[in-house]
Amino acid sequence: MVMRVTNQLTQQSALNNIFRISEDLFNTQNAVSSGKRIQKSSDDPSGTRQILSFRTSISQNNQYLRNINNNKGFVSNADTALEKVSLSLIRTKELVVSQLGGTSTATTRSFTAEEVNGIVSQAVLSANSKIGNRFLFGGDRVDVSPFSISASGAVYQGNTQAISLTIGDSASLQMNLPGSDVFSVDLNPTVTSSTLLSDLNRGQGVSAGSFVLADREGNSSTLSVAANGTIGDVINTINTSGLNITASINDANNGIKLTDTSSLINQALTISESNNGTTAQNLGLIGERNGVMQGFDLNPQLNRSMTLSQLNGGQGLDLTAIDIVNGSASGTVSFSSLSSASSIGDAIDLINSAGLNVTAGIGSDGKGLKIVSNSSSTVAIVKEVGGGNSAELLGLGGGRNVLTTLLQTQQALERNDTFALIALTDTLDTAINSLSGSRATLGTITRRLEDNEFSLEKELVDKTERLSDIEDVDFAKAASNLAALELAFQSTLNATSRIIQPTILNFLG
Amino acid sequence: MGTNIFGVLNSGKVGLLSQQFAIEVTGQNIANVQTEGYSRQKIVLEANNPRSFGFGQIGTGVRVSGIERAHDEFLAGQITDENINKGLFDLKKDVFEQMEILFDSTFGGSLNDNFNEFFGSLQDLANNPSGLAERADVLGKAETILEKFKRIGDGLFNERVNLDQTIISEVSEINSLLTDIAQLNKNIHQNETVEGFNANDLRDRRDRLINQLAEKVDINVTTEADGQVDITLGSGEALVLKQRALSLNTPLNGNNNGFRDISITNVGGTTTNITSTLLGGKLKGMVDMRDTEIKSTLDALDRLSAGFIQEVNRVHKDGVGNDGSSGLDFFAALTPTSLANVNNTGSASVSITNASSTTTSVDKFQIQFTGSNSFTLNNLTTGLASGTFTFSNGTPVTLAGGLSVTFSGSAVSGDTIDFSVSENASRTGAVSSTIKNNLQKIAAGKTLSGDGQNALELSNLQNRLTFNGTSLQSGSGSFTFSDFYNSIVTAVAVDSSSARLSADQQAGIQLQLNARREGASGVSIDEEMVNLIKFQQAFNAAARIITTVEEMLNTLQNNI
Repeated sequence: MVMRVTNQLTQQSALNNIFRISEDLFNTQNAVSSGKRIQKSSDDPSGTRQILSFRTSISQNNQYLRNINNNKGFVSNADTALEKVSLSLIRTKELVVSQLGGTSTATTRSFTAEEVNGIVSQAVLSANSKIGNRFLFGGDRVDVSPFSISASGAVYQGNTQAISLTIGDSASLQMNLPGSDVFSVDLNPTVTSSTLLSDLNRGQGVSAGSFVLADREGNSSTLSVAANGTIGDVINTINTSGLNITASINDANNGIKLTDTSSLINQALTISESNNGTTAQNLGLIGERNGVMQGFDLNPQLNRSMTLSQLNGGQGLDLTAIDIVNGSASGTVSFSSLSSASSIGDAIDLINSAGLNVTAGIGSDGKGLKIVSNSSSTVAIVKEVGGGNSAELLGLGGGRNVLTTLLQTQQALERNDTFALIALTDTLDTAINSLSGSRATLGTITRRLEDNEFSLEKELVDKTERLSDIEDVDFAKAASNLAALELAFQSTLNATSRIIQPTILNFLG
Repeated sequence: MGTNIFGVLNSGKVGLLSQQFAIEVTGQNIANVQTEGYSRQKIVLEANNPRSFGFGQIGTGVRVSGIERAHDEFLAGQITDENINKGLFDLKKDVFEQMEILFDSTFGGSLNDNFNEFFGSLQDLANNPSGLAERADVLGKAETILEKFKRIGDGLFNERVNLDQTIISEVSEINSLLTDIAQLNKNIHQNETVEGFNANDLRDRRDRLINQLAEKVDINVTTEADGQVDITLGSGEALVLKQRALSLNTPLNGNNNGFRDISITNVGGTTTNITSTLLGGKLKGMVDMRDTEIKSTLDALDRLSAGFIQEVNRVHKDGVGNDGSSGLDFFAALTPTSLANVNNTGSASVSITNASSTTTSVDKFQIQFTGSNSFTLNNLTTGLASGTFTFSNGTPVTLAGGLSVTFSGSAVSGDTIDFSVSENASRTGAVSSTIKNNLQKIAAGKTLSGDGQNALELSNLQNRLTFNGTSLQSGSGSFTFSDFYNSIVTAVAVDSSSARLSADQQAGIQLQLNARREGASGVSIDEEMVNLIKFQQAFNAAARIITTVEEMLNTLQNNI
């Protein structure tokens, strides 16, 4: 038996075929006109996933490039500033050498001192240069100009923090040199339980008063702090308050950490001031946390009782020996008797007891040591012994202590102290070398930025190309598809018009 | 008895009338050539009872013994079954396409781009921590993310609401179909059993209604001996029992956003909730999409949104703003929601506060009471048990990593209360008003000296693996925010693509079956024309008999 082909069947299957081909035609036309192979995500789910992650990756790449481009100026400005200071140092060295010649007199030296004074001002200006709101050499501190000159020497008010620039997926680059690495040493002591509250906050101390501490279970207690106590006293007060809170030194060793031990959680761990005081804020403890509060950096200033191991952010100081020149007197102070448990006061005492008529102490910025001659006609100059760097580390002169060295030069010229000037030729050299080193570091940073920029741009091109491979239409293929489909469509229409029309009626008389 | 000339005349007459009937049936077939579901009708002719003579029998002409429709019972059953699938697949395909549009990312504008912009703005802020413009940019980008979350979340939820509305109208259409089928049962029974005719057109109509019904809901059709049909649901509940139609109801479900359940009350008055026992058809598609597919997508989006908010808050809290403020949430802390099961027998209720805005789990949880002062906690998102607890009214218990839960009322074993902080998070997220009112409070720094460390840490969240396959797992996950979002988009795309494939395949099956049905039951004009000629010729011949008899009578009257 043959199959009965009925009218509705013919019509339906003709329509079906037309719709099928016209849908394909529509999709291909869309693809060609939009240039996109994938019109909606279900056209190719796995392709869609790739597209999405490529887009994210491309957009991140662009952001990294943006970071680099926005901050190239920061690095190049820093280099320019250092170049100026470097030239000033070389000029200073020339002046010193010229004032050691036979023709120099107290008068020529005092004129030269004037010029060096100008150089110092210029160097401070360079060291304080900023781009936008950021100081080039202030660490990451933006609220205060990093350098100033006080009666007792150079004062550094920045910090030792790096400014990181994100230049890749979880890759970052330190783009700054903190002033402490370039112009003036910062011994950056950590906080220990014996750190005096009065040394905190760059010597501003902690204002006596009380604050309210509440644990997560909801217990709270008002605790008082005396201005003359230690960090240990504060920790002890908190730990004996009966609250479910344990206080300790924070993970960065620069503040206090509060850990909530409540098993019931009804609120956040909260610290607040009482009577509008600033005690809690001065202790680096602000606001609320869900469990652990890492107190902020308390920036303690240098104190005689601090141990050597506590300095340089906890990395310690490895001291060997220094040479001191004070007028006709000169001598070597050896630190070999000091251990890491010795205090910075012990080092100061060693210098002071060397019989060189000098007084060492803590500089007015609380960040390094200073040394002054007990005589008003001489200037005490500290030099390294052999290849050591103890003088630089302690902030006494040479190397990174560019400003101090310049100030010492000015003073030596004013006081017409030939011994000091001779000694200074050495320390100026180390300072010049140190600056060259800093500039080299900046050069490395610039090169890394440029390298990264180059590879990021290359990656961007690669990724864009691969994205295009996935999401864009292959035009040659699409166009030939389109032509084939158009042909099929027209053939179908043609055939349909022939099949659907005739019935037996056409042939019956 | 001998031969009777009037007998011949009578044969001619019935022949004439029968062929006329046949032509009428042909006319009916031709008239219905384009009628959907029409079955070609066929006249059945039969020789009339013969008269007996001594030498044998002689016929008395023809009679119409019936009009039958060309109908394949087996094929009809198959078509009904496939219609159930068609309804289900077509609906799923349509709804998935709608969902896809919400996530459309083919031409940019996806949530991913907003993530990229937000984290990029934080890097800009890290590069210039005291810049007010950078701060405003961070706020703007954060709000754009929230708007995008809200747009997608609202879209998904509205899709659920639309489906819910459609379920109501769908059920009312089903009910009217059931009534019509029962009425047709009655009419067919009346026609066929009482009056003794084949009710061809009524049966066609009933078949058509049954197919319409099958597209909407899964049914089994049983034909009774008397030609009436019984219709039951796949799960066994009766919908039509001969001339009695039952009806579906759509009661509100307080446990499911006040969406509609579907229930049926049987002849005995017992009501059964059939929402979860539906096996096919459009109605099941709607329930599935509303309560499973869209819901799980929305839940995942909510978890992503909640996770994003919590992670940003976690890092932001540890930083310090330009004005020295610290410990602030960047986004408004997630608000816990709770819902006591409406079928609870006890009166227990909870009040929940988010006591730890950055450590609470963003999963959904269920408290299941095991006594008047004890319960087990189940994580509905992971499906794992999360411990057993005891409580007393008025004393808070800490659950889910930082929610403070206080009970009141009397708990009865077996009662449940659901809660979570992520319910609707994608639609309700907001930047904390404290931050919004004072941009200096954006905690870009890690110290009080105006650094950008914390902005950098916030931007590092972009590449941080914060999510596992299902939920937030800060610190030990394996996916970033973007990865997790991509997996949501891809899941919808895969489902949509397979729904489209199923629907296309089903259309193919449907086409085949339809061709077969058309082959058996459809009207062919060619065939009908041939029949027309056939019957016309027969009609002519019968007329010729009558003329012949007339001539014979003339011969007799005039020549004898």
